[in-house]
Amino acid sequence: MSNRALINAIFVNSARSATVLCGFVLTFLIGVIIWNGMNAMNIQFLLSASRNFGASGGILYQIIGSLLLVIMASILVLPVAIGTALFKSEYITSPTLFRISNTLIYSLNGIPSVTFGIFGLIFFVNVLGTGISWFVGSIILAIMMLPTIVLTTYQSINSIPSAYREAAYALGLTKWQVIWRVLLPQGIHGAITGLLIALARAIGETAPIMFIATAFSGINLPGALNDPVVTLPTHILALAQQATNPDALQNAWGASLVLLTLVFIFSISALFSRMHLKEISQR
Amino acid sequence: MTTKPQLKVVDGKATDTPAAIDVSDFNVWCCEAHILNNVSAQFPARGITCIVGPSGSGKSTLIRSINRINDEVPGFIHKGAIRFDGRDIFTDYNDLTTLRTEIGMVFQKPCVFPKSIAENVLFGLRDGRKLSTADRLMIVEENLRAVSLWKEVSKRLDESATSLSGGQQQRLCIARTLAVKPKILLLDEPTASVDPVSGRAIEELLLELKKDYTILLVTHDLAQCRRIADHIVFMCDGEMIEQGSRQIMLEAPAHEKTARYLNDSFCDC
Repeated sequence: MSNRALINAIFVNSARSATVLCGFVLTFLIGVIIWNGMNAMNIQFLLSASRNFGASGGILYQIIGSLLLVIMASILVLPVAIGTALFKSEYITSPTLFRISNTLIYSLNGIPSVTFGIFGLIFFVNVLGTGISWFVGSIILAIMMLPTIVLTTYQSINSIPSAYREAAYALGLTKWQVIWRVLLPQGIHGAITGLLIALARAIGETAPIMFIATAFSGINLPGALNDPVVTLPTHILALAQQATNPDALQNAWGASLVLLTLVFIFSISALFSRMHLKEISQR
Repeated sequence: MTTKPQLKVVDGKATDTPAAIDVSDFNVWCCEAHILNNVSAQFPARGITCIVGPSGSGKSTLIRSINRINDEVPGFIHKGAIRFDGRDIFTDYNDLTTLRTEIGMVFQKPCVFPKSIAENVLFGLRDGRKLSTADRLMIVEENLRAVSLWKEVSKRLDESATSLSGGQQQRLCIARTLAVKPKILLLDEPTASVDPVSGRAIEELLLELKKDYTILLVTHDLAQCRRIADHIVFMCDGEMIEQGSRQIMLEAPAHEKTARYLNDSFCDC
């Protein structure tokens, strides 16, 4: 075998091994969660409230709490993210300002999630005196979701051929009309995809919300914006701390499986919505 | 009070048609490149004026400046005046929407919006959504008939415009521009990216439209220019070399460069 063929074979096999290893780790991780989680899974577990600090009962309010947090976060973040992406794409003309906005967005994406939690604790809970509030948790999650949605929306708007903009301007449309009638209909799939990807990440976050938005047990649904909420990630954390109790551990696996399923649903939805909305926008 | 400019005498041969658009000492820079250099030209009302010249001569830049679509290009700088019906388009039009509805433009590559055929025709109307269904249909029919597309698409107005052929899409783009009732039609090589049959159909259409519209057509196709031009402007290297009626420009141009380009498609400027 010649040197070139040998190097080629080494390269191909290395890439193949890396892919197999990656697939194995992912399959092992998901398999273990499904294997252990299925033992806890039944209708009663999904539809009843937790008791005895989570060691018995179900996770109904944790599921509702997690969804409540991310739905509110989505409502808060979507207009801001789309506005930022549009401003970046259509209004920033200075290359310096463009670079600065890019750096800020990527920096925001790189901030460790616990830092958001500490920021929320200091700014909202201590300085503004909001107390432990699920709404504050949604604000923090919205800030965390912002870069992902801005970047995907910007990319989808920026990939619209400039011929569409010129054709619309040439008909006498104003900038606002071009944005509303040409860019948004064709670029919205990017925002929805980004939102679902960001949701898949946000729903599993523990660190940013555990200081500011959640209680570990003892509550069901929040009655007001400034009430705490119970969520799946913090519930799993609380149960993991009772690892010597087999019932608590089993419920932790069950809650993990539900969380994994929610992440999976958001990720698959992102994939399908991207394909579907892109197809609609190009019809 | 504004005065309507008259077409200047070109090389001693006067044309008596009043100018709809008067370009004087017009310069364009973009990203520090000097693209148009002291261009002065007069485009007569009604009829087809073909702007010809080699690639990079500034033809497209000139017509893109006339409805100020170049304003959207970062780094676009201009000096000089373009007057439309006696009004300077850069100083007398605060509202670009009005200018662009009066001076419509069709681009080289057909660009239909991913909407239905009918919605594409109505796309540029300011109050299109407030119109009754009957009025909308009337506007759609009128403009599709004007571009000889009605028979081909009348039974599928709700179908996506992207399903049309390239030539049909280009005619739809012209219909969409006509729907906003412009006075001037700017066309930047409208037949360059369609098949020869569709190209001929568009030429026929322009010959019909010239009765009602002032048409400025950028083209590289000198045969097309000979077939449909009433007036020819020859540009080279960012300068307007010569302009005049088709007969004068083809048979007795004043400049050697013009004669060489129009007869041999060659230019060494």
